[in-house]
Amino acid sequence: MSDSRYSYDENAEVWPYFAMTLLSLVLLPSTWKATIRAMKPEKNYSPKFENGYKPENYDDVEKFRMKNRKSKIFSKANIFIALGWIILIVVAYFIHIQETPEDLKRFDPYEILGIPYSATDREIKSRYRKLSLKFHPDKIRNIFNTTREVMEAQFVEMTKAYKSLTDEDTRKNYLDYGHPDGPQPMKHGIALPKWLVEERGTPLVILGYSFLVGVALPFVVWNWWSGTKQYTKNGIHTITAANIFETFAKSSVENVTFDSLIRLLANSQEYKILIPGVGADAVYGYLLAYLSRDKVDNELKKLAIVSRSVAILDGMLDIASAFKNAALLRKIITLTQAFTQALPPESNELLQLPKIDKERVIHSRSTLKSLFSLNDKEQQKVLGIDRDDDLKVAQSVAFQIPSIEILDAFFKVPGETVVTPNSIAHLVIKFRVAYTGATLPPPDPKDLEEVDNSVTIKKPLSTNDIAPQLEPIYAPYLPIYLRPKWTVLLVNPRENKIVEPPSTVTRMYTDGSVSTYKIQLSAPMPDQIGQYRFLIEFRSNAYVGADAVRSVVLNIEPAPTVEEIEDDISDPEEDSIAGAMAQLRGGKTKKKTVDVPSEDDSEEEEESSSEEEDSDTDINTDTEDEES
Amino acid sequence: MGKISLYAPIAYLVLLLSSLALFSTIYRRRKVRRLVGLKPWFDEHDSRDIYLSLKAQTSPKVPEKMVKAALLRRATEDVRRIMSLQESKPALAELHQRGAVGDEIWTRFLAAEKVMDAEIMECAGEANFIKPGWAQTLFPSAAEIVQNSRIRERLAQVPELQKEEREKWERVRETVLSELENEIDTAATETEAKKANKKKK
Repeated sequence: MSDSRYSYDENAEVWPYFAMTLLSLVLLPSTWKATIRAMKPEKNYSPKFENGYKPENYDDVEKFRMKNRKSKIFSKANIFIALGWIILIVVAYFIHIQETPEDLKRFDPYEILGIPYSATDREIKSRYRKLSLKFHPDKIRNIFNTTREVMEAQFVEMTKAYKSLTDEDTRKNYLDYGHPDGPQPMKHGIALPKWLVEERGTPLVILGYSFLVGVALPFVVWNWWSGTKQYTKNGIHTITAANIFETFAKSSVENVTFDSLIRLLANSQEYKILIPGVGADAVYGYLLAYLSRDKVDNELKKLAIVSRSVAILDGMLDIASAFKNAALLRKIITLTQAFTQALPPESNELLQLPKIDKERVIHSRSTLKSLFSLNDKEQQKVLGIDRDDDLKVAQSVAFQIPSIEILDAFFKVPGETVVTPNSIAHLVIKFRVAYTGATLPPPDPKDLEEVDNSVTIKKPLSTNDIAPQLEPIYAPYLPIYLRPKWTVLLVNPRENKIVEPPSTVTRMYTDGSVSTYKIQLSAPMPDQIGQYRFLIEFRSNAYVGADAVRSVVLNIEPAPTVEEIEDDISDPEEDSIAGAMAQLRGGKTKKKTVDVPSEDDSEEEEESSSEEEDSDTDINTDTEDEES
Repeated sequence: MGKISLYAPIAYLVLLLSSLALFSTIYRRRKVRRLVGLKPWFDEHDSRDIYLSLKAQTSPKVPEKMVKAALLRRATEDVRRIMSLQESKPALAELHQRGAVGDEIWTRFLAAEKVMDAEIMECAGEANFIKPGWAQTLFPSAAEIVQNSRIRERLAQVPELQKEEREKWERVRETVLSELENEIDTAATETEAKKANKKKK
């Protein structure tokens, strides 16, 4: 049989390939990641808002962006990637200049004869004949460049190749062993340079190995683990998150003011890491300065602080959503809007516009909507703008700020016409984007219907991903890119609590056609027939005064009678249910309005168990409101 | 071959086990230190301290009524704390499960719960020591006190809220009024213009 032996890579033939594979395995994904990171936008830019307006601190904002960009490109990770590529290129060059050793060449009869793999026997024969006429050692006379021996060897090869394709035995040899002469000495190479395996290399290998397993690997794992432990899923620091939660848990949520929220924000751990030695009070000062658009001594510091604030507010919103209090969520979203547009929370929405006279607008009672009904002269007066060009710039923004118009909202159970007790439903919201400048025709009633098809019955929420992504926002003061989104709250107005965790809409049609957004309700529908009133709120993270609120009524109705008869026939066991349904049908005539969703009961139970057995329910509900 | 003595595996085992033992002791010690270093969830329990010092005072001896009142105060604070823990527990559990808050706050919270359990037990023991069976009624009355004070607080907020709401309402009223006036003005000018046009004709 074949003579097989193991050999190490003495001539450095194989291990460069091995090294190159390993390197590219690491380099390609990390380069891809780095490119994506570098391609991320840094600026809120939308062509339709390109109006040439530069805020007072434009130069500083640009400087901040440049600095950001530089630190992003020349980051440690990117330098490592660049080094890796240099090594890769060196290795590739090494491979390139190296000749392939003779014995490593594979025997390929087709290649030797110079015929395609699809050649038939006849073609092979004729080709061989032609070649042998040309290359037969007896025929060669007038070739000077090559010696006779080489030519002879070539001819032998050719004959071998021909035989391996035509002769039975040789062919068998070729197919079995890959060579017409039968088994060749086999060589198992190990892609390691020989010096690594020799005696003197042993300590080095052991040292390297123990470093890798004992030090490097634990370090990397530990680093990764503590890194993930340090930041929450929302990307905010755990200390910040804990601080936010503790503050909300201990203070009565109703007493939370914008000022206390800004103070809470200023206390974030992120700022302490970003600018070591800066106190919460200083950060608070910077934040307030940003909101009132005041210039400070260290503008870059202010911008660096502000650039983190929106992300932290996002995390704050997520933590606040666990407390279910709608007022708190509204406050945080309003604060996010304020940070995006650099204006004090709950100030006039006209402050978002460029070129305005801040002092005049701040005390004005006009809104974007009322602005639209005025003529140019009056608009100039309201906004405190003297020049016509400047008014044009302000108008270009004012009438391009999108606001949501909720057209219709209803609850739906997939494949059903009514919402039955205890069913699993989702909320369908039909809305469209309206701009202050445009009046839209009344929507087509057909667009407001939700027709089930085979896809939506299985996956009702699949329609959420149809519409295009929201376009970038207008926020000249915000130094970073902000992904525009709308937060949708479903609120029980009686308790002012959210019924579902807030969801975000990032896709919608902006051309005035109707968009659909669906929210899967996690809790089953109430088990009592009746009407339940909720509020739907669309709140922007970018613009002030663009929010929309609409009330929606959940109608719990008994199942249609047809189904009931089916139930009766198929399952005699369900007699009791049928009876209950008949009862329910009787209740249908005198519908009562109940505002309390089912989840309340459990809460009340919990409370009363901790207190006296049967305290006044009156007092109970009162405290509940207060605690919320 | 054959050079490796019998001591080699033993040395290996000793090295391995001792390093593991070292690791575990260091790890546990650190864990304990971390737990000790945790910030307590609640501030100092002042009413408990007041009760304890009143009880400990011997010359002159504190009247029993005062001690009882102090214990009731302590129980009230306990109930307040327990309720606040109960209220925020679902929220924290949800957030912790979702990964929106870290592990540390969760540990702190659980520790606070344990501390409060012990505190309640101690408080009940004190009550039963003063008067057997009092613990049964002590906590319900403490809960009532908490409710009462909450209602009072809320009541005290009403005038402020009223003021705020009134301001808001005034603002809305004024904007609506000014808008209305504007509309009337524009309508008036339009009709005048029409009239003028008609006259011209």
